[in-house]
Amino acid sequence: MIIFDNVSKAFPRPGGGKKIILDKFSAAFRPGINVGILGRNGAGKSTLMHLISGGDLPDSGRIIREGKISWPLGFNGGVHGKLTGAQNTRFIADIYGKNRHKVLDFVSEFSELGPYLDMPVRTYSAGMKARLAFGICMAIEFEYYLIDEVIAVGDSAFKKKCKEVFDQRRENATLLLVSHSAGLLRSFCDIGGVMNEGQLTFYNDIEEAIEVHEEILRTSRPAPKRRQSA
Amino acid sequence: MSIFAEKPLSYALKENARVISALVVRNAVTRFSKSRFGFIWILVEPAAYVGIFLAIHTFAKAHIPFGDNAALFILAGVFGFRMTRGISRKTERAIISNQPMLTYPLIRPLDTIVASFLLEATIWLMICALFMGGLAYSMDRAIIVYPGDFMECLLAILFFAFSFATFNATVGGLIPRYDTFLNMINLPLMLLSGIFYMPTQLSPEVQAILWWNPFLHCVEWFRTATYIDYTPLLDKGYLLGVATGLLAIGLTVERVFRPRIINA
Repeated sequence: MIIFDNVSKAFPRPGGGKKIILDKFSAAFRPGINVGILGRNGAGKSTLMHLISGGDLPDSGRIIREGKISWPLGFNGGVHGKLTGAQNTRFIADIYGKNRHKVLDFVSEFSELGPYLDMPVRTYSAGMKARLAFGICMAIEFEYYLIDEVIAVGDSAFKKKCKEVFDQRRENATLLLVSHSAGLLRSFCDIGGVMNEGQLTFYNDIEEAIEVHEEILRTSRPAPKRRQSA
Repeated sequence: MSIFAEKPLSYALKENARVISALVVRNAVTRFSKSRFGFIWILVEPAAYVGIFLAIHTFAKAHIPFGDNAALFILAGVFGFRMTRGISRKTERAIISNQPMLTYPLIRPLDTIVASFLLEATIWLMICALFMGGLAYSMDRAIIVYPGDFMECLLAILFFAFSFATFNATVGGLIPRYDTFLNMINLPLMLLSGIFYMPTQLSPEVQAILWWNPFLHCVEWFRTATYIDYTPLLDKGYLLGVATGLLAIGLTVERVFRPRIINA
């Protein structure tokens, strides 16, 4: 169970003012219910993920976490470009106190990187990086997986593989997925949440969430330039 | 809500130790994996200081500021300053250079500072031992005449370097271009820390100004351990006081502004 209790978070806007990500937001993420999170670019989806993981802190309010929560698996951060895939894997296994060899075995099988595992990560393509990061995250058994778009870079074989792993883990792993891809959300998630204007609104049907999201995209074009001062 | 238990202290400490040791290994790998040049440079630098000083010394036919061996005088100064600044330089950049790692909720800014400090302190202590041992061997006599004072001095240097770095790392996360400022004061600090001269030979007015530089006290403390009858411009209480103050401020800033430092 992850509980947001009256959580507010804002970032300073260049040129003054504040960009509000969450405004007195309260909600609970229950175990076993996979949530897809939608929102336009810059709505704060990644920040939400960092708040859930504990990597970032709210300005006010409390976030109560119970259960093992992964780090937000996204494009930024996580793996170090200078280190090889295997070195990154060992490092993450170490900080989570897992057996290096077991984790490395899982990653090399899952990522199918072969000899590239011993190459620096900065030489990887986006897809290879995603497979590595995803593999490491899956190798450590979490109860909540926070996935920020990263599945979407993979090809269909990779997506199929991800789906298989999650189906196997369904009983004791919950997925919180940020994505712009309706197809991915449909295949992975039970319910949907749409981030807009400092709130995350849940919809019991992922289809409904996708519709609301598309509606927001239509009505808010061109991108709004108004400023909220706080 | 009792079901949401806090982590027990013993578990938290074990987790910290695990994270820090993993970070030390990772830092060591990134520091030396790309090329061996990194390690060679760190050995060449103190040697270069000594070489340049000895060259000037020979050409100008100046007298040695103190003692009978110019290399010893200058090495004590170089280590008093460079070791302190070298350790704190890498350590104060720990949060910035480990920024991507803060994605992992288990890694907190302070962990990166402690990890960098442990690695740099180990490296510099090894280099110091190497140079001091080499000099003792070439001079064929003991250099560290007061081993007790020497240990005390090393501990003080480590403490000050850690405190200074913690202060810079956290405050630097809040103030834009603070790092540039640190780069700018590096040379003046070095010149004002008495590496190339003996502070007590200067006029009292100059001494009164130099006294404020904590790095000077590191250098002078170092020399009291390598000379039997050196007259230092040294206030141990001042150095330790400044270090304690900087550490307290640094840790407070880290706690109060943690969200901003994470996103800096």
